[in-house]
Amino acid sequence: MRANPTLDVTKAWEIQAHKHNRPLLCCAFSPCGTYLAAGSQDENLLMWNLSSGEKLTLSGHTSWIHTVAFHATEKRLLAGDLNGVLRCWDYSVSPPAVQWAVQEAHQTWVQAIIATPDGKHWVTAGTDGTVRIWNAGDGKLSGELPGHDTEVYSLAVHPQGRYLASGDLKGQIFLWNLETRLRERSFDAAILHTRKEDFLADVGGVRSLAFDAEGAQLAAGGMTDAESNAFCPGKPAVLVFDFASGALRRTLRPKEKSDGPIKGLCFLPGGIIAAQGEHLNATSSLEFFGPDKVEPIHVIRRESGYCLNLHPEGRQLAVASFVNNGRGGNGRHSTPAEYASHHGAVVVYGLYDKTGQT
Amino acid sequence: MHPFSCNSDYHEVSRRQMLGLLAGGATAGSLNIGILLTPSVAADVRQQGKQVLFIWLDGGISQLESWDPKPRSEFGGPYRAISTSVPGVEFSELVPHTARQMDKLAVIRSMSTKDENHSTGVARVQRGDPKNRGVDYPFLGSALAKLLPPPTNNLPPYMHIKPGRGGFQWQDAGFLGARYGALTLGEGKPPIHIIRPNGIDDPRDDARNTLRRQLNQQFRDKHRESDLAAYEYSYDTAEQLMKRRDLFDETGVPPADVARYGTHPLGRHLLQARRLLEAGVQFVKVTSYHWDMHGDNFNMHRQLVPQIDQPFAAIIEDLHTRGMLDNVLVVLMSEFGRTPKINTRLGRDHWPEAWSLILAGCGIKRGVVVGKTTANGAFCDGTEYDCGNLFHTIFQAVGIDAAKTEYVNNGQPLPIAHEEHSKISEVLA
Repeated sequence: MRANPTLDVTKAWEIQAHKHNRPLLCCAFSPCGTYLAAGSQDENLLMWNLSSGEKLTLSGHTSWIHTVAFHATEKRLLAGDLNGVLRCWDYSVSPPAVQWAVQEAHQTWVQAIIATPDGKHWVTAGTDGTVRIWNAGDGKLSGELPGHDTEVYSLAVHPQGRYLASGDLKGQIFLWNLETRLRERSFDAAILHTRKEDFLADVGGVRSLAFDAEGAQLAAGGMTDAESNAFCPGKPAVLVFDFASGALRRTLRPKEKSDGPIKGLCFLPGGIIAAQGEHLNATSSLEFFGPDKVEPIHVIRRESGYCLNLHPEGRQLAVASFVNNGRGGNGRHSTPAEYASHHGAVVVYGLYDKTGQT
Repeated sequence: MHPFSCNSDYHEVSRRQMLGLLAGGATAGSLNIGILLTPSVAADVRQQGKQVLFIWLDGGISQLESWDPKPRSEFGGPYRAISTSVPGVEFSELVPHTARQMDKLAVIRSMSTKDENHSTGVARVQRGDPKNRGVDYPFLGSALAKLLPPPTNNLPPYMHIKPGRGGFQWQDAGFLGARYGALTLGEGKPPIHIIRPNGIDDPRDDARNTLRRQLNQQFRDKHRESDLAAYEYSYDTAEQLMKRRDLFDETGVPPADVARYGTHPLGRHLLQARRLLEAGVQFVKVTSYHWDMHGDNFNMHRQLVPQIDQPFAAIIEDLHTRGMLDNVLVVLMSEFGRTPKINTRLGRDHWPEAWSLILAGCGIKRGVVVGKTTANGAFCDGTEYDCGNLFHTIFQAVGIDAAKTEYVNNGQPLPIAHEEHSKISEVLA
């Protein structure tokens, strides 16, 4: 990458697709920008050295790895799986080694992990309805943030490090003071939750959260108007709140047709929002929304994706993705010998003109 | 021959029994069976106690998230497997209550039904898919309403508890005719107007019903067989149900039972089903919709599967402790399973190739698994069973030999189950 190219999402281009034989659910760049990690449906944590191209497979989890985060300052990487297990990897050594693990960090799924900017803690969220704080060094439980009465799906830490936002299935977003560990206020994202009279389950939820660089806006991703608890089709949406007042400022809708929640969400420099969708057995999209706009300024039609992460230099965006491997949908459409899982990739997009013209 | 006639031994028994009842004015329980009926007929009469609980998870529960888990495999999904009360048999961690009842269950893991569409698959599976004879075959409940001896308790033989509206579901009966349809209890509630207005006393009510029957008879005398029989039957049924309001009175249900079954629709409806079975209803169907998890399959199964696990385990336990499991056949199934391949929305689509169902109770072995799937769970590994096999098996379990019993429709003999399929012997006691 050229040094500090001008950000231009309308010129976004695919730099590289780091492929895997199973769909990838989460991804994160290391703070140094050298590594890219991803969690897979095959229970492996994958780590690519972006300089050498080397791919490491870190095994030991016993379920899908749904969330991964890098420590702010130390060479540590924390992964959470759908058996409720946390494993902290030390990647200062080669090959990376498990520094510590917590077997029942949550009773069921670990849905989200975030590192606090001061490097002292990890925060995790689970489908057991808890938000927990762990000592970064030894993985000891440091505290719990009570209050969610349902599954907690998403976390985001305010850039100044004082506040944490957590979002749940019912569309509640709680704002926690990480110093006092008390809940200070909430944001109303109930529109992202649907429970009609004939539903057997709650559908939707705050599937993603992101603060802008200044900490002035909080964005929440998900979907509204779910039509059933079976197909779970809804209208993908990003709600953008004013952080100071808690008021809903914008509701962003993807331009391309998609029917799943927005799980991939992040702010880019300049207040641009990137949102990645899901679409049932069809092409979805990665869309970019300018500051104060509700219509996307650029759309990339692509496979469904489940997570976005911005490179520390702010000019590359990684998408943990599904990759089609043969016809899907009802029935098998192939011989038993040919019947195989769909694939995955972490696709890295350059957010600038690759020709160097801008 | 009467268009609704049948070559089943049971209806021969029924007519004889009915004559006996009319002549003696006695109930079946007071008949001296050993004197009035031959030994073979007496044996048949004893089969009148057979009942069926048919639980239908419409849309298709995932076999991988329930009865045939394949953890840590290519298509296994994120959930773990847990032990059951039968050593060596594992279920998904989402069904811990049912796992404890496995010693009373039989699981068939090699259902392969080929039809991947709801619109055709639901009807095909519930009709048993006999060869095309140009007629609509009855759903299982209607078939058994025809083939089993008529109940002597004046309760409808086929009752269906489902979400939404109730009514009389005559379409289930197919060529058998509307009277073999299902009396449907929307949300488990009684049919509307079951409570007689206070201004109508017994004599007036009797007079009304007598007048109705007279008018019906006049109509029947001038017309060929018509839907009148079904209308008359439904009126008679309603008349009987008005005397059994206790079936719908929940005030006497112990709170502990409510807690054990759960307050969600399946919990309430299966508890209601138990009460109907206890009252002697012959065939009780319970339907739950919205199991078609194309999107967000794993979050949805985490929310939905406990809603069948808890009350299903409770009703199996209750039928067992009440000594009813020897007489009640329990079927738990969908129209197909779900694709091993996980789609873009982290969902599973329709998969008729290899899926699982549960049988229990009357005529069924306990604590067995029949059939298996490949290591990745995608295909049957060995003998596959279609819904025709299932119908032969269900009929056999309640004492009907599908190889010897036929329907007769307008003079045309029709098999009651697919002629090229046979019973699943491994699952039969």
